[in-house]
Amino acid sequence: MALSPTLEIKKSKHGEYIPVLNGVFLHSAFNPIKEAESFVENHLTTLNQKNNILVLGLGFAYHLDQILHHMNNFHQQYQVVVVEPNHKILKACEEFNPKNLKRLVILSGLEVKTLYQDANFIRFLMNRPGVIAHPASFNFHSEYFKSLLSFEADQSLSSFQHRLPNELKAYFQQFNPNMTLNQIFTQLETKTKLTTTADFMLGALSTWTNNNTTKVDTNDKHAHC
Amino acid sequence: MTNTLIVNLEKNLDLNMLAATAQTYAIAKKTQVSLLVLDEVKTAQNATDMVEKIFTINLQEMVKCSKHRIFSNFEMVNELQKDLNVINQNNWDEVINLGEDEASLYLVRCLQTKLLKGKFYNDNRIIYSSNLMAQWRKQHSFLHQQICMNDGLEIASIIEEANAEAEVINTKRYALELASGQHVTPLSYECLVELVQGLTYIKNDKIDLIVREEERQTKLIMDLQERFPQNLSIVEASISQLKNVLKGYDLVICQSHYFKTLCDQNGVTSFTIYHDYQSLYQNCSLNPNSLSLYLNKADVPFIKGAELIQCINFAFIKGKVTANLDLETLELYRLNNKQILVPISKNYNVGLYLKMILEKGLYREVQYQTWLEYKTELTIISDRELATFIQDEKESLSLVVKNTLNAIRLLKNFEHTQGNVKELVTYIDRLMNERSKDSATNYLLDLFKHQMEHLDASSREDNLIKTEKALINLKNHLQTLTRILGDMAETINERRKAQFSGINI
Repeated sequence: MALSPTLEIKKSKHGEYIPVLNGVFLHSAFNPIKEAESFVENHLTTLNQKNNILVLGLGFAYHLDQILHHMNNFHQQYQVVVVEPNHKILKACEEFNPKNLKRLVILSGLEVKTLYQDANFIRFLMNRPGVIAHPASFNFHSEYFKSLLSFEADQSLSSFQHRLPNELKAYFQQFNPNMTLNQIFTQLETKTKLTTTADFMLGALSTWTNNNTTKVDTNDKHAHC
Repeated sequence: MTNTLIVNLEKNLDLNMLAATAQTYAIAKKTQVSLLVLDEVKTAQNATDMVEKIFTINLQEMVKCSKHRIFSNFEMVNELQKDLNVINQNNWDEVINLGEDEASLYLVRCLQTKLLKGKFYNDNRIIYSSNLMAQWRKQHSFLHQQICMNDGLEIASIIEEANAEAEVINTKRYALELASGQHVTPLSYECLVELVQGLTYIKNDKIDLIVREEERQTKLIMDLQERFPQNLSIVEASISQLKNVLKGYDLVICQSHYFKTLCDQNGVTSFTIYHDYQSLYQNCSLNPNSLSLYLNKADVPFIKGAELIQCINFAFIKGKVTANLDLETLELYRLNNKQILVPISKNYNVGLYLKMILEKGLYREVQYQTWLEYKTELTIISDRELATFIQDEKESLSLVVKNTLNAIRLLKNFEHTQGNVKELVTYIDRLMNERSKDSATNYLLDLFKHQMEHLDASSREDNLIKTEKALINLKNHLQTLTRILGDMAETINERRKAQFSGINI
């Protein structure tokens, strides 16, 4: 997205406001509420089974009104997180259809890499949310959403240093910042004497991951021990 | 009161069994016991309220981080630290790791405690492990008893109290487990009818038929209800509710181990039916008032309710060895204060009884040199039976002694020359893997195997020294067993001498 797209606000034939990006309508020009109802009907299984939902695209939140309505019926506790690449859309939505926005967690105008540095977002993803793409928004920002969905985390220590627990920050300073956790495990294996609690903690983690992990450590070939 | 944390991070852990062990430990040591287990174990097995608190490690969350490309592996560090912070908020007086998995050997070293027991890595990654650990996986109930026997006096006094309370009880409430499923051979309808009839006739009281929600047998229940409209109530409970449901009864007739364990945890007297000796030995009720009945699977269809009632009446008589219940096919046992399953019926499995005396006596001798207190348990065994048993044990023992001495001899050769590695490995392999059926030497070989499996592989010389130490230990234990068998044989001689002098011991 080299150039910021032009945002226009138009009214549907039914009278609801609709965001239009570079001439592309993000909702039905005739009846966005009806459109949202039938859109959500196609995702009822996901909404029923998952109490965490990730929605790709905010638009003017007509689809989200419907999603929230169903989540309310299906679950006592739930969370709906929306990723919207264009911050102007959120601003406009706050003006033209703000009624349910407070019930959502909206991450707007953030780069994909920045999103994945957010501890709360990571925690949310760890709960394996159901993913629902708002078709018009997804198509307009297809590159953005594709990179969001195919993101691969940087496995180096340096990329995570700011998120390490305070009590372990000093401990990890002894390692090369380019090292991955797997490389740190390997280095620890050669250590004849374990001297700190953190050594034992990593020993436990190493054992668990060796028994369970299938992920290929993509940073291994780049990092220097 | 002190604060103890028992750790077991195995994925296939029996949480109820661990909680039962923890509860006994809490009583014996007068300590508050909490557990640390994997989150998935706690979720799957519906946590028990028999312990102070159950802490968890969320391994699945951590594995998720390590498996998915969108997460940095370092997320695992955050997740684990978060769990550890919660656990370390308590000031633990002692932490005991009963887990056999490698991760827990590391993890318990991250816990803040004054004393660490069980199994764990030292700073050089050498496993520290107490002998109790060798028993944990194979014989949970055995360990359950042994773990508290360090303080034999305390646990004995608890049992005394329980016995005194149980002297004569006017029974008011019975529960009968209506069991089904793969692992249970249920009592026949006719037997159940006779049982309910008999119990209500004697006590003129009501019986509750306890049904697990998922095992409802509608037709059987309806038939029984129709037959006993006044005296029989149906209590349907889910697994999570069962524990509380069973609390109120004076006697629960159990057809499954699960009910028996719940009764033990609640201190409720149970009458449990076993169909094989192995499970009777390993999973007998630990409540000194409870009764364990052995009934061959093939005999189940023929058992009569009247016979069961005859047995059940013993549950309300003070636990004293009487061995006078004359039943044709049934064997009835009760655990005494030395943790021996004492037969109450005339019919009993002599081999099982002797095996229990020898194994528990051997354990006590190895740990505390107090085997002699078990010798008195031999009084009900005839000379001939005892002699046969001793002979069998000696045969198994001689083979193990031969292998042990050969291994030691070969190992000694390494001090001077290269030695015959292949031959040494053969003997050690035999000691580790060959077992005689039902012999007490198996217990000693298990201890040896346990030591061998945890040799530190840092250097060959070190390994040889430790192997030698393990072999010498085994040799000493075998000598102890020989001495105990000698003592047993001496019992026969003493009886003969007494007979000749006209004194009946």
